[in-house]
Formats: sequence, structure tokens, C-alpha cells
Amino acid sequence: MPEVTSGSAGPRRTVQRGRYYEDFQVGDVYRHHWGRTLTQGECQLFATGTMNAVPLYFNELFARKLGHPQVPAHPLLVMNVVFGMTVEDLSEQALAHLGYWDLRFPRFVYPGDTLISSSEVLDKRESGSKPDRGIVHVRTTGVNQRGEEVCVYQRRILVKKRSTYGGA
Amino acid sequence: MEHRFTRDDNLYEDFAVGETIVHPRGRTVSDGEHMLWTNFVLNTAQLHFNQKMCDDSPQTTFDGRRVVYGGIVFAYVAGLASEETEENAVAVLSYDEGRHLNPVFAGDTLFAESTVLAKSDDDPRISQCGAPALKPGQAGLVKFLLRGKNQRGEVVLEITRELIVLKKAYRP
Repeated sequence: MPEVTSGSAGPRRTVQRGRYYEDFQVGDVYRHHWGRTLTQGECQLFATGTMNAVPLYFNELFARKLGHPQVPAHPLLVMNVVFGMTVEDLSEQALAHLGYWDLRFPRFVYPGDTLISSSEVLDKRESGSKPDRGIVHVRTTGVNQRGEEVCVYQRRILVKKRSTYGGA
Repeated sequence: MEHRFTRDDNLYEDFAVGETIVHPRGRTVSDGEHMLWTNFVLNTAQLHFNQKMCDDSPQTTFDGRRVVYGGIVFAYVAGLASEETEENAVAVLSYDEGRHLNPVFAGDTLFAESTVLAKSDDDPRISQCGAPALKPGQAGLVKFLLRGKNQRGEVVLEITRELIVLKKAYRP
């Protein structure tokens, strides 16, 4: 019987993303490739969709009273967008995200701004109790389209070891 | 009379160091909602949105359960705390010492508490906070410990935050 899967007769390449513990080296810098523009609707949706009852982030009259040209993006939207773009390089194979340290927002972000993330590996250590994993400590920086820092933080990630869990 | 967009009971003078504010509302996390936020911010970690992968690898996921992305747990907890703490804040200065202490799953209900750790109206960072129209003396720094709990009272998130909060005389 003839194959009906026309076009799939060639070689198959199974793609895997994400780093294991062994893949991180202290001092490595990752330039997360995507970049993401924030729209006004997204800023409004995030503020209201997370019940953030702060009119600065959903009321243009109020934002102008505080001297803003328009409603700014909520800082935790900025953090989440900067963070999200780092996952493919930092934590797509992670077991857990442990926490945040020294999270700051040096500048406001407004609709129309495009955010770009990068991260540096500050430290790594093996788990004291479980030999199949380790903890990777990174600093992530989010900048706008002018290269100005808008969000910086450190993060610790619980990561699988390739020696245990394999992977390509 | 001009309309006021914020309450008058959550300004700098209203916060007492040592007090814990128990925020009024809870929030149940639904399945599609948390996956949508995860994808919305381009978070590609499949343990949040691929049930087959979780089924196949219970030892590297939360016993095969899809865990809610921590960044959105953080945003939900901050949202629950916002009206009492942040409504009259002109800037978020920092978060620090943040730990996800227990996982959150779809169906869990989140609650929030804020403990006032410290206050200052002469910290030099107030004038450097970036709030565009802020003049000296109009606001102070309030440091909180923000805690998120689930329906069993277990702490899921603990983090400190420093907000720049307007004083009563300067509420717009």
C-alpha cells in the first residue's frame, strides 16, 4: 500500500530546546533573541487581568495627573515579558524557578516600547541533597529599544543534569 | 468637585510599621487562564502547558501536575495586595528576597497579606524613583513583606517590596 504521508519520506530532525546544568558556565552571557513590543491593549489587559487595582496602569486621566504622557506598563508586566524571553535559554528544561532577588525598574515602560532581554550566569552549584540536579544563579537585564535598562533582577533556577536525564 | 481616582486610606501616613494588612479578596486560578498568561509572555517552559510531557516525566515535574508559572503567581498575589498598598504609589522601587515556597496548580485559590517592614521619607532613592512629576517631600518609601497563601494557608510566595507612596496632602 502506498504511503499517504507524502513529503515526509526524508530524514527527521527532532528539536529539543533548553539547557541542562552542565551546559551553564559561570560568566556566560545569553542574548535572548526574540524581543517583544508591548501594546496599549496588552498593558491594559495585564493590569486588569491580574486585578491590579492601581489606576496609574489603566486610567489615562490619572496617569497624566502623575505626569506621564500615557498609561505606563505595569512593572510586573515588564518583569514577566523580560523573564518570558529568557526561558528558552535559561529554564526550558528546569525543574523549578526558585525566586527573585534585587528586582528593580530603572525606567518606566510605555506602550510601543520594545523590550530585549539578556542574562549572565553568576554562579552554579550542585544540589546538596539530590545528585540529579543543580542550582544556576543568573542576572537578567531587560532594555528598551534605546538600550536603556528598564528591568533588572537576579534569579535562581533548579536545573536537571544532562548526566541523569540525557537529552540530545 | 473634581473626581478622585484613588482611596484616601492608603497613603504614606496610613501605613504603620509592624502592621500586617490582610487583603480582602481571594482569587481562584483557572487552568486556561494561567496557560494563556504563560504563553502571552513567551514563557516556553512546557511544565506549565504540556500535560503529556508532565504525564511522561512525573519525576521532573510536580508529580505529573502542570505547575502554574511563578511569574504569574507573583502578579496575581501583587494584584490581590494592590488596592491596599499600591493604589497611591507613584513608583515601584524594588522587589527582593523573593521565594516560591510551594507550587500553585489550577484550582488553587490565592490570598495575600502585606506586613509593613519600614518607612522613610528621606531616603535618597525617593527622588530618583523616576516618577515624572514628583517633587521633594510629596512621597515616602514604604517597605512591605508581601506573602501569597493558598486555600490551605500554605505560603506560596514571599517577597519584599519597596514602593514610593504619596503623602495625604498630595493625592491627585
